Amino acid sequence: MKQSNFVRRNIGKCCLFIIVLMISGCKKSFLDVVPDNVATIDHVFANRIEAEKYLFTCYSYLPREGNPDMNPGFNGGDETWTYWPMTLDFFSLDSYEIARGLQTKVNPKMNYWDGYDSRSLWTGIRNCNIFLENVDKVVDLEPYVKDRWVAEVKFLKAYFHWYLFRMYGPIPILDKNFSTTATPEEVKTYRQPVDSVVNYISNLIDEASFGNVNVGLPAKINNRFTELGRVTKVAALSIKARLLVTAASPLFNGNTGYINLKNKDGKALFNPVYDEKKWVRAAEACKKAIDMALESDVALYRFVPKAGTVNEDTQIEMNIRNAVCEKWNKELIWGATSDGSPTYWIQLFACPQLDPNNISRELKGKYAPTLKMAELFYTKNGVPIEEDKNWDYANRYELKTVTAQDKGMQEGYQTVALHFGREPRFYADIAFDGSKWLMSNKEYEIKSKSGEHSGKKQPRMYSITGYYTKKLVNWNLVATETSTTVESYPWPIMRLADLYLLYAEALNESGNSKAALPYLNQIRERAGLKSIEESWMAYSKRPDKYTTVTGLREIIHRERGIEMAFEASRFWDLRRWKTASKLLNEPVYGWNITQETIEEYNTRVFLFNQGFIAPRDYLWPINDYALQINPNLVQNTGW
Amino acid sequence: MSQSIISYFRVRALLCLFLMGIYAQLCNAQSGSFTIKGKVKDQAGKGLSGVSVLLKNSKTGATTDSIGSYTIKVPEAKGTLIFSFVGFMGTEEEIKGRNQIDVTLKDNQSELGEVVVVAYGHQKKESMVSSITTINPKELKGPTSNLTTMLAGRLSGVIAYQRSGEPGADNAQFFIRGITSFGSGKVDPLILIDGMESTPTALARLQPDDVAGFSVLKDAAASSLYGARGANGVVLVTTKTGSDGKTKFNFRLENSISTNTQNFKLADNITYMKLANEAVLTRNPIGELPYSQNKIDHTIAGNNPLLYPNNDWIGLMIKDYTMNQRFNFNMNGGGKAAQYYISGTVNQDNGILKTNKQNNFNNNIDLKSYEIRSNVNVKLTPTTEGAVKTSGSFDDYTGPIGGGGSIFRSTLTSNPVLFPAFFPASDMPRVNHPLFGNAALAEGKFYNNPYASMVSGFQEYNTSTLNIQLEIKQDFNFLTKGLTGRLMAYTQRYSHFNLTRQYSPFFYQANPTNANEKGYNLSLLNEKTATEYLNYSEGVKIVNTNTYAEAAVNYNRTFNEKHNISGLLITIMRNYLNGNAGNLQASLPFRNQGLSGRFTYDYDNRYLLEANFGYNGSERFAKKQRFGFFPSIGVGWNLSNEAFFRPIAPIITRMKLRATYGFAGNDQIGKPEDRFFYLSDVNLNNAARGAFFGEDYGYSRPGVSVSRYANDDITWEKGNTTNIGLDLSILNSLNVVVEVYKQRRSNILMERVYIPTTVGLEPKISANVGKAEGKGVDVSMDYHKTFGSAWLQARGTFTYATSKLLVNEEPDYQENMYYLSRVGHSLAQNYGFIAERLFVDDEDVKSSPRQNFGEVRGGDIKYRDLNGDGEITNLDMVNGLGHPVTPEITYGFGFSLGYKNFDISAFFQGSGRSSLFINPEAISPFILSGGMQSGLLDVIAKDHWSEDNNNLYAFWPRLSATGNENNNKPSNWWMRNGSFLRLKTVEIGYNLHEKIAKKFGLGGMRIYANGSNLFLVSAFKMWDPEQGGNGLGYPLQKVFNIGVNVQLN
Repeated sequence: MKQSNFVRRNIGKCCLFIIVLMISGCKKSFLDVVPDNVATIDHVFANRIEAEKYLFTCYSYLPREGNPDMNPGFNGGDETWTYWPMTLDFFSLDSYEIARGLQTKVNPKMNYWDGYDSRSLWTGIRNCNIFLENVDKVVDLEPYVKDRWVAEVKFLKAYFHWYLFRMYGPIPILDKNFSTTATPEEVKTYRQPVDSVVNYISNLIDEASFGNVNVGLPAKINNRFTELGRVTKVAALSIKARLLVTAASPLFNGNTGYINLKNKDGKALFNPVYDEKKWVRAAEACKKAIDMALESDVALYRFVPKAGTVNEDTQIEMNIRNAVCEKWNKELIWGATSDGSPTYWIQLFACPQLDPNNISRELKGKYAPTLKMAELFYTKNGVPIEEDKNWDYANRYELKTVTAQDKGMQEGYQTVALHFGREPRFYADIAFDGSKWLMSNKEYEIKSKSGEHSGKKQPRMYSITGYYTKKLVNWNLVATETSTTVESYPWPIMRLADLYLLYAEALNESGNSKAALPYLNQIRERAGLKSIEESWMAYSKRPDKYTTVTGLREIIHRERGIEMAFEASRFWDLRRWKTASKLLNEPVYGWNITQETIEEYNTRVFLFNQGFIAPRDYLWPINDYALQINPNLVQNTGW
Repeated sequence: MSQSIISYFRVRALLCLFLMGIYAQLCNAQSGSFTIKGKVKDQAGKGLSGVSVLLKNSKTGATTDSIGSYTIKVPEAKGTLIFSFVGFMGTEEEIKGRNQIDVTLKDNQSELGEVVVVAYGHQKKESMVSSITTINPKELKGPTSNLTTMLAGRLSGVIAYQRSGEPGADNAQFFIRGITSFGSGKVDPLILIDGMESTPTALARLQPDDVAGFSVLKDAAASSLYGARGANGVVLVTTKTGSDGKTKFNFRLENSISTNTQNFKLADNITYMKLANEAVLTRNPIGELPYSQNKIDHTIAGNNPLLYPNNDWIGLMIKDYTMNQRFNFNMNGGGKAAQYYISGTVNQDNGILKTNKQNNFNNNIDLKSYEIRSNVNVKLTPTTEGAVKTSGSFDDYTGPIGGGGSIFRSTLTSNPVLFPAFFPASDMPRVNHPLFGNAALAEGKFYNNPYASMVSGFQEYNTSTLNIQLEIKQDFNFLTKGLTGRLMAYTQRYSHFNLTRQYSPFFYQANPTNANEKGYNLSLLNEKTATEYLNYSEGVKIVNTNTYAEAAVNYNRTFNEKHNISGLLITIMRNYLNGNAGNLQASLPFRNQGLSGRFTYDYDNRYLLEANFGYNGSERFAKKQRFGFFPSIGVGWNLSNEAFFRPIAPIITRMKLRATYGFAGNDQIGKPEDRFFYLSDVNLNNAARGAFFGEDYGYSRPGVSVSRYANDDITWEKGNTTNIGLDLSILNSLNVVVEVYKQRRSNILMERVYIPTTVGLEPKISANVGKAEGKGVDVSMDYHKTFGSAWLQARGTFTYATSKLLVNEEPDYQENMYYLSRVGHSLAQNYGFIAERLFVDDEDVKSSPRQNFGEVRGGDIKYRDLNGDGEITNLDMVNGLGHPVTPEITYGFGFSLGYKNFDISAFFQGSGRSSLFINPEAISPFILSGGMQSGLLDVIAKDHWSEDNNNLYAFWPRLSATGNENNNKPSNWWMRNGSFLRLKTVEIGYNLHEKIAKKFGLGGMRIYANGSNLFLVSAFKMWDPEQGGNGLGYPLQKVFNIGVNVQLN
């Protein structure tokens, strides 16, 4: 009883004690729940291993240029076409819509400015800046490694600016990062004039490629097993060459169409005065890049069979095809390795069903060259089909039967005359009903009338034009009903032939036409063609065409169109040459692929009327919303 | 029935044994020599159960049973009995030697005695100045096992709507005085059940039978004690506790039939095919037709439906009705030393989906929810009281994979004519599996056979919530008079897991042949992937615990009879842990800490003053921002207690004016993953930001990505509310409460938009910049009157809550573009284009402003060029289209009418000033996306623009076989009036006559039939408008129910 009284008395006191304790003892540390060492940005530059991740982060913002839907050059222009609407087998319809004239400023397609394919290039640049600002903090980084990394990141920073410049023209320059607490006024940046942007990028690449072969960027990759794909001096210099050629081209050099594109403070963004010196500067940059490339063992690709020899036709075909498709071949200057399978999808999108007995559902065969491209290639005499004295241009759509003498096609097959007597690049780059398709294991026959194995058998997975892009398919690709093996080659962002063509163009434009010819001829020779001089004099209706600057310009443009066909180059070339307003305003044609008979199949059908509005479509629209957020930005002309 | 009575006796015997064990030592057997019996009735003559009967100045007491009878033993035949009951005026009766004392309690909810649950305590209604709505828990009863569906229209100040009728997913959303915040954080109220923080689902599972008090705290004066957690309002629920006396049992058993209120209507399949062809041709004259004339002809002729399928997915998959059962029991009783209240509930809710006989599992929704509750109060010492409350809630669910809503949607998103749902088993007598139909779409991909998806497996989830609460109340009279203290602590344990079991269905295709009688051969499409056995996959597992402690001192005293003073000081601590948070930052405990206080003073029940504060901290913010102070003040004036009021007192029995002003906060701002704003959040191993190099791209490193930048300035949302109220009682039978309020919410967390992408930030930066305002009126009225042996009760509520955005983070719009701004508009108002009409033809398109959204042709929607730049861009969107999508007005009214033992009641509920937006993308016909190919709504088939029918105002624009970006843009074309009025519940009941009940040994019995959602008035006919834009999901349910309620003493 006594005890219970004690308890009773004290329950009250206990309560009071606890209550007073809780009220008075409001310990503020109760709310400190975050332990030390929670990952923050400071951990990134703690040591070399972590910092390397940041270097890779900077690389990760490179657009996936080998992906068919992430590079506007593949499907955004007039080189290829697809069936429409497409409901499956794509990652993004943006580029297809651009080709169909559906670009919009409301929600721009392939908007690498704000972010496309998880890549806002501005974020890429910001990351480069963070790297450059912090890399000195890394304590265990050897100086020579640091120099190389810094040079790589500077180059990437330049490349992102370049990529934006090529799309949008005058852009803001993000040389230094803004703090996250910057005021609204500070962050509302202005677009910079074209010439300043070009100079900025060019200088930045100079910084990145500074020094001899032992400083900063390596001339070539020695540790092939872990480093192939990273930037080299040759790559940097070549991109600079492309930048300066682009800057010297009509779109940016003396373009008066953008005379009204001005910042709100009146600063003109385009220089309307043509300056030939830009071409001189471009030619110098090309030369420097070529010299460095040759020093570093880069050379035009020649096919070397695994064993023995092959016949001459095969040799030439594989010269052409494997200059692109052979992994890390000698001609490659900079190859994109992107997500570890850089060209897996473009190959599957390009390759039709080859084997009638082994249908693979992975092969889409929908990346279809247009009839325009088929007509672009030279005749076997190395001149345009409309210029060749010996080639029956007028009757090119008439049916002819393949004989043993005709190259690249199945004997006895009937197809249009257009497919006869063409240059080796025609047969190496594209396939069609009646053509052959050489693979490392076998030579296949393309039969693509409706219902045939390579043709249209279902609502999808077929070529809408009747042509297939053989050029991009590595000859080791094997696709059966159950398995698919694709040799994913690094996507050639730059290869030597491209650089030669840039150089030739720059030489011609800067009053050095003669000097351009050898570079063009090297490329032609590799493709099994005679030199420009010989070909034109012997076969062209305009034999002296190459002797004038304008004539040679036409030849260079065409040569470039053929050599770089389907490599996502033409899209940009037509823009910088300002020829897009003509060429992208033409109808798209193909063969009548829904037909089964030879006659019906081989009739030309109209597919689409492309529209290109100049000057609007030469440059990308900036998202309308971005202009509202930053009133200092001005929209591109026409948008 | 007899079954359940027998089992009841069993249960009762067992429970008695069990309880005797517990209480043997605690209970002093009722000692007394004089027995008094009697009955307590209300003014209508109805027995009142649960009325406390207490011998004055003693601990002796009893409670009335379900029919209002009581028995009390008192030591001698004198003294005074005190009768008291919530909602009624208490009364005292001198015993004066009587054995039988019958009492009628004045039923006056707003009268002096009523006690209301308020923050951390109770308050007399008469002395309250803040804005608190209470409801008699009985009114929350309805033929549903989800309490939240009963809130709409019954509580003034609560905006509530139910978007889905799917068992387990049918919680109504409810907001106190609408939504005044537009951040991504919490906007719904804090729910406290017996002081324990609870989820809406916990509230949904609560049985009205178990609820003692239900209060909604609406203004800051009422909720500022919750400080940084109270800005969205607070729902306070208390459960019943036991009362002294003999154990009383109460059983309720219900069985209901449930059916869809409304189904969307599909067009017939012939029309489907014809219009699918039209959709292609109308856009592309050389396009490929999806259906050949041959196929259409055969289908029209009704030829072999296995070769020419003609599926009615709704009919194949959805039943006409389903049956549900609910069972609830509770018992309470106890002695002086301890009282208990124990209840248990079993609810069974079935879905409305069909099953396949070839499977031995049930793919229909089957939700069993169990609830158990035990509240025990113990008198520890004469001045110390303890309470233990335990409750558990358990959901056992099986249902279709993806949930019932997706099944309903799939009836609209599956091609009805490409394949039959299944082939007769006789086609392949040797196989064991159902022969589902399908057609190949792509490599290893098939169309969606919704029937196969539905019946090929099931998911299961189990949810358990356990709550244990301990409370000690101590009287500190020994220190100073009127001082009490209280300690309370609880822990909640929650666990949830789900898993799915599914076989991969065998798909067959019928190939026409003349080789057999059937006319077709079956070919198996997916022999490599189909399985006869079930595959198993584990789903999410959620485990969390919440522990909490509070300590309070109360002071309550009257000086000189006229000065009433009370004070409260309380401190709380809360710790919430998430067992599978997913990342380090999220795994850290959620904590709150605070000190709150209340001071009230009233002079002579005439002049009232109340001041409150909350001082709260939250772990989310940087140290300098962690604690906030939230004060509030209120004044009130009971005019009816003034001398000058007496002349009109017979007419206006009561009148009070009150006003409050105060602050409350909301710390649950932003996205859940952004809890620690003051820390940056960096992923140092993000594979998506890595790169690959080397000969075979074999050398890779992950990269770094930032998902949040550090910002130590971020703090909670602040709300301040002004509330003015008028309480009125007229002729003692009509009570009216009118309140007007204005709430201002500031510091709303928003993503900054002024930072252009050219800065290159990864995530956006946020700051407390938004401001909004809410205004509104809440009215509640009730009326009751007795006419002889009949009585009438009527009640109604009206809630009007609008909101307005004051400061929004948006670009600086020039004056002529101000229509783009959200500022000045309601938070729930949509924005979009102004649709003028459909384009007449392609020429019309060419001569109109260019519309920048994909291909536009005649028959597509023409928008207005608001800024006159000759183009339709996002700059032509306007804010403030129509009304908000959540209703601004919610109202309800109803009546109960009783005559002798019969009663009937009905309740109507409606909402107004809301717009409903049809999602054109969701109903676009013929669109193929994955294996889904959408069906054709009847309304589209009947009314669309076509080359033959150039109706510029047709319901649907020009058909298209692919998604049309232009027509899918948000615009007023798709806007409809969302207002509706529905007969929410109706009930007819019969109470067994007392004498008859007694004969059967029952304390009372009620048999009733009721129904809910019986009819609806609305301008919108496509689906139930309450579902808003979610009309393709699981429809709301119309329920017919019968029930019986039995009391045993």
